[in-house]
Amino acid sequence: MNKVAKKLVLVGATSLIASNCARIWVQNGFNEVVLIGRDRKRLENVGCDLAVRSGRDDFSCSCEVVCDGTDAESVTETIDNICRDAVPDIVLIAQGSSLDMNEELQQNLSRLKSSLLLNGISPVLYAQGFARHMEKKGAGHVVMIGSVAGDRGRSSNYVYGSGKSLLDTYAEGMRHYFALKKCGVMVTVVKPGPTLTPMTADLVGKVKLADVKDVAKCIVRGVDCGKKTVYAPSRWRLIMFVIRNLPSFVFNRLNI
Amino acid sequence: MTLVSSWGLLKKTEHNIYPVADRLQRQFLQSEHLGDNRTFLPRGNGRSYGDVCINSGGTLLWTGFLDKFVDFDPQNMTVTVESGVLLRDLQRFLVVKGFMLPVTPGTQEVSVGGAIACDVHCKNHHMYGTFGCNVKSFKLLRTDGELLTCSSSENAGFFKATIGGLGLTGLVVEATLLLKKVAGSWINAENIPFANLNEFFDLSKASENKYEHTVSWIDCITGDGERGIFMRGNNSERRDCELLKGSINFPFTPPFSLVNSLSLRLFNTFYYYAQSLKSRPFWVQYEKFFYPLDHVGNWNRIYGKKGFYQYQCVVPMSAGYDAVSEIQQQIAKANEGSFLGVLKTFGRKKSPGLLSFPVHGVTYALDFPNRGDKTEKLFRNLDSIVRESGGRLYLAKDARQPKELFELGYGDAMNEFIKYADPRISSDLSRRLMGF
Ligand SMILES: Cc1cc2nc3c(=O)[nH]c(=O)nc-3n(C[C@H](O)[C@H](O)[C@H](O)COP(=O)(O)OP(=O)(O)OC[C@H]3O[C@@H](n4cnc5c(N)ncnc54)[C@H](O)[C@@H]3O)c2cc1C
Ligand SMILES: NC(=O)c1ccc[n+]([C@@H]2O[C@H](COP(=O)([O-])OP(=O)(O)OC[C@H]3O[C@@H](n4cnc5c(N)ncnc54)[C@H](OP(=O)(O)O)[C@@H]3O)[C@@H](O)[C@H]2O)c1
Repeated sequence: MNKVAKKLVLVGATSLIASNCARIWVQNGFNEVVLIGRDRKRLENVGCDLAVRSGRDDFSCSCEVVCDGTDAESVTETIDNICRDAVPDIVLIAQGSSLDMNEELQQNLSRLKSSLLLNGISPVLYAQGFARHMEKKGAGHVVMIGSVAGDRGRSSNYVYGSGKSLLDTYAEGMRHYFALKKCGVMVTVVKPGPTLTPMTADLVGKVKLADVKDVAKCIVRGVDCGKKTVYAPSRWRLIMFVIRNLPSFVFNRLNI
Repeated sequence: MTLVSSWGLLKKTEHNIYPVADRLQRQFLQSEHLGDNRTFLPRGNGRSYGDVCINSGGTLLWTGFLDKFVDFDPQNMTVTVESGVLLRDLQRFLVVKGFMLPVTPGTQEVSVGGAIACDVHCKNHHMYGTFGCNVKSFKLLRTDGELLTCSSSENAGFFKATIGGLGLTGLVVEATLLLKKVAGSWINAENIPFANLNEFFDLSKASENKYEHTVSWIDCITGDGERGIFMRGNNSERRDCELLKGSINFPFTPPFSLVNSLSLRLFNTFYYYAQSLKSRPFWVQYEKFFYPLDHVGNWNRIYGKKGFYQYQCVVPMSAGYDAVSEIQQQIAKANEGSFLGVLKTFGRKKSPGLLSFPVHGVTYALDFPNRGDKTEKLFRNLDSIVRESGGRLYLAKDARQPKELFELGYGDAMNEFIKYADPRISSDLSRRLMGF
């Protein structure tokens, strides 16, 4: 077994997609895991599951509670703490929610703002926060979970989608920056299609939902190969290629 | 509301589905989540055949997200997991560490909660009893929000009622299970053809002391007697581990059943001779030995749009020979049945579960494509044989037995069971047979 410590950080660690990815990474040799989220008890349950599945004597897991992931100060402090001993090899940033109906957000600006903060700003704060440390070390991999909804604004979910699309441009900029600096830090945006998790539980029986285990496998494979964008399941790359390239006069007539 | 059915695909009815997000969550117990019929029902992986996992018009508390491991203690040989963990995932985790679940049913695509609630049995009932015999403790969430830790010494009444309790006592949230040690992932197996029931009973008797796993495939239709294949085996000392990869999927539901008297004759003849060739002991990976059907996903679709029944009964040993022989005759006469005829003896080990199905005797299980009245007429005949032999039907498989047969089989236990039933839980089966 690999004796070199490999460190994984999950932000929004209670996410089913994130915890399923972590199960695979832990089996592949990651032995130090830090979980960030809002609720200590639930984070500990995720940690416990990973510890049992890992089965390694040298496995360690710690939990960091951040009540407000859009508060720059607490985010900075948490990240600095985590990176004090060792900068993580992979940070997976997973918090997000599409539960709010777009129409309601259109009518309520303060909820609109919260949605953009949660799905766009908060992930970027974490990404940039960890990237600062990774840059110094010259290595590390930042992975943000975006969404296929970020690829083109659609009437039914453009608030959520535009929050997610911020991650794309931000990641692109980061990659450009690290390339110019000749620094080995990698940045990936993951775009899952509809997947059965607590976030989509209302859609059971209405929409075809992918199995979270398959999605996690696809994400880990893509990240481990260092892809810039990972669609999961991979057929969404083609579907979104078509949707992105539909001319507006066609797109605006479709209720998709 | 979403249309949901059980493994038998006999009917699809409207349900409210409430996935339980994690083991700390209690929100779902609020009455606003109750469906139109105002009751809940826990739901695992929907692998029961009949209506035990259906609550038409009500709410299903789906446990698919409760898939976390909680503790693994190799010294004390126990594992603690949330109730939605599938036996497949648990078994694969354990086997590479030199352990296995002592009891698993003929498919590993079932949840821990479902295995407890139906108190499932395996090919080794004569040694390890039922799943419930190997449960150390569990946490039971009642719909009034109370969380009970249950074991044979704590809340023992709830422990006994919940094992085999068909989900009617509350939601099992997590469970601690006892394990057995194994060397690797292999079974040393042997297939022995038999020509009639006498040979079957002789083989069973001769094998039970020496072989942990025994089960027989029985040909329900071809041949003159009751021919079949007796399969027996033990966990091998071979130390390496192999896990199976991938399976195929039956892609669609045909409009009519692909199982008919012609395909059945062809299959059974082929299967009998193919298996007879393997009479010398051979090594087989445990998943191929225990769960051969799991290799084809959604195989239940093969029976077509009308779905299918499984008839599984147990009769006491003393009446076993006559009952099975009569059942075989009735089925052959009706020209019904399918490939999957299973015959097995149950040992004397008693389960703690009040409504647990197995009793010392012989159990017979066979699938039947749903051909409406014709099938029901045959079932009525089989019911009389079971009734007269003092037997009963397995509730995990039942979708149609008359109330009076249920009362003969389970009536005494019901008086005790009812004290522990949760007033806000019911299923199509409980309303059909238990009156709530
Ligand atoms: C191919 C095949 C082979 C089989 N072979 C065998 C066999 O050899 N031996 C055998 O005994 N059975 C066998 N079965 C039956 C199967 O093992 C049982 O029906 C099992 O209970 C299914 O588990 P599930 O997770 O799918 O539960 P479901 O079918 O979803 O539910 C079954 C029951 O369990 C209850 N339940 C589910 N989860 C919980 C929970 N967390 N808390 C409380 N109650 C809960 C439900 O309310 C319901 O009453 C077989 C089934 C198939 C499809
Ligand atoms: N499931 C899909 O179909 C799908 C598709 C595309 C993209 N995604 C994205 O995948 C990521 C993971 O989601 P999932 O599918 O795994 O769902 P999930 O299991 O429900 O996880 C959602 C995560 O977001 C956090 N979160 C939700 N609302 C929050 C809020 N208001 N403030 C802070 N944190 C909040 C949750 O934390 P708590 O546990 O503390 O609530 C949890 O960690 C999300 O970014 C989601 O947008 C999902």
